[in-house]
Amino acid sequence: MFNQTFSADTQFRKASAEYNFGFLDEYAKKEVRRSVLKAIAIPGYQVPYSSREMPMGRGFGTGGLQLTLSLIGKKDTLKVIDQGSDDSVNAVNLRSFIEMTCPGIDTTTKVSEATLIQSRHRIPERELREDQILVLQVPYPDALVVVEPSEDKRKIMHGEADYSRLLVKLYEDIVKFNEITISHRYPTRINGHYVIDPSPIPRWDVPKLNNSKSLILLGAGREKKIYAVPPYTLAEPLEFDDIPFRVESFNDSTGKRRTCWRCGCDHSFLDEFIDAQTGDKRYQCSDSDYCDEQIKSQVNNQELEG
Amino acid sequence: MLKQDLLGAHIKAIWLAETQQALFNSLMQVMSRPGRLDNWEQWLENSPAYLAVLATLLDGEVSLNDVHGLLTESDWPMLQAKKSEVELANYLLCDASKMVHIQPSLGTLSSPDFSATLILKVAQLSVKQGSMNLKLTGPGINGEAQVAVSGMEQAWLENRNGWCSAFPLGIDCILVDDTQIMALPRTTRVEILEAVHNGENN
Repeated sequence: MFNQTFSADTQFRKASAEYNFGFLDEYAKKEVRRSVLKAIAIPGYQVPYSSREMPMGRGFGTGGLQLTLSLIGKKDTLKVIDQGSDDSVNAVNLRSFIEMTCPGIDTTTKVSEATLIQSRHRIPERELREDQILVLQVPYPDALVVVEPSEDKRKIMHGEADYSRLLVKLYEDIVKFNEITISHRYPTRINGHYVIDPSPIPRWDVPKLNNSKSLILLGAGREKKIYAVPPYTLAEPLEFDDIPFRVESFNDSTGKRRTCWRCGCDHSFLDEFIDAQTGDKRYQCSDSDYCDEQIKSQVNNQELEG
Repeated sequence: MLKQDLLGAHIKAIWLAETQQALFNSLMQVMSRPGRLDNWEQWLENSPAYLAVLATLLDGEVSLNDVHGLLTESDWPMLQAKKSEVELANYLLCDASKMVHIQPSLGTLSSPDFSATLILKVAQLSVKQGSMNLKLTGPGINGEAQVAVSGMEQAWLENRNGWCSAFPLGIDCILVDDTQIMALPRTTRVEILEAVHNGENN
């Protein structure tokens, strides 16, 4: 989608063509693939794998990238999202890297056209289909890390599905603040056993994990873990009987739901912006493709009416 | 038909990276949606489907036990996998029409991924009728799914259910017939609806 004709860029692309399709060698891909199958078979379990060195810092989406590169083929159409947007730095760089090392694939910004979606910290607003695969980049895979520093002990706790200390942490939040204070990375129990850190998606996106039509894969490159939420699988955020889980509220002080200033949408996750000139707060859909889609449908409706 | 690989050698399609990418995507879909049958005919070109599964997943890092001797001597160098005892093998290749008493690795409580994956060769997989009709429920299945398997000893499924009775321990099965593929991860609850004895392939 970015047809730049800079000579340096052309040279870089030529040099990239010398690499194996998908940058990783086939052995690295096979290991990721074997781990993916195990992750699907044991929903929510963090499968360790030997995360390879990528030409970018660990923690910049190398886990998601290795998953994408191991899965992608020439028939795939890829969308890369960074916090809802296709145009922010992480998304642009990852997309251009994948385009360079996977000649023949298509990229898109439209959710409906993509077969493979790599995302940082958001799940698209539009419900995904069965033929789509969502890859999430994960900085911290283990939800238990806040209550237990030893990985050995965490692995035993996960195996026994012992999350009592995590629940105590949530309870302490309620005692202190009258609210569970986790805004993103909300611990979510998969298939009634393993609790996962669903990557830093906002609470808003957590219900989308439950009974999803598409397969959701999560990759943590620095922490060397792969885990999965298979389709049609129970995913329940941790909660108490009397304090149910709730998503972010976008109501203003009068209790009215805020809307996106661009498209007027009143049912999407909103980002807050400060207007540089006036200093006023503005709200806009976080999912840029969804926002564009809504504007487009409004224009079409106006044309039909006019 | 032979094709050229990256180094210029002429080999069968299942050993090529491009084919393995397509096969893995199909394998991932069947593993995440138990009861789904995928047909690999277009990629196989006369290679057995179980060999294609192994070619897609195995390399020198993992071990394989060919329980019923389905592989030929020439397949091993291509697979690169280490030969290993049944109890320790990461992958087991079995002929599901013959029952043997084996104990595959079930993993450990803290590392259930150390368990074995069984590749079971059956006579026929079908969504309609076979000698054994199965009802599947669990993660990946929207409600319930039904499949029919022919040419599989019922004892395999009974053992499988036993091995998978204490989640997260268990084994994952990949069922193949001549061209089709299906998976039963350890989370799937398998119920045998009816089994016709003494009559395979009907």
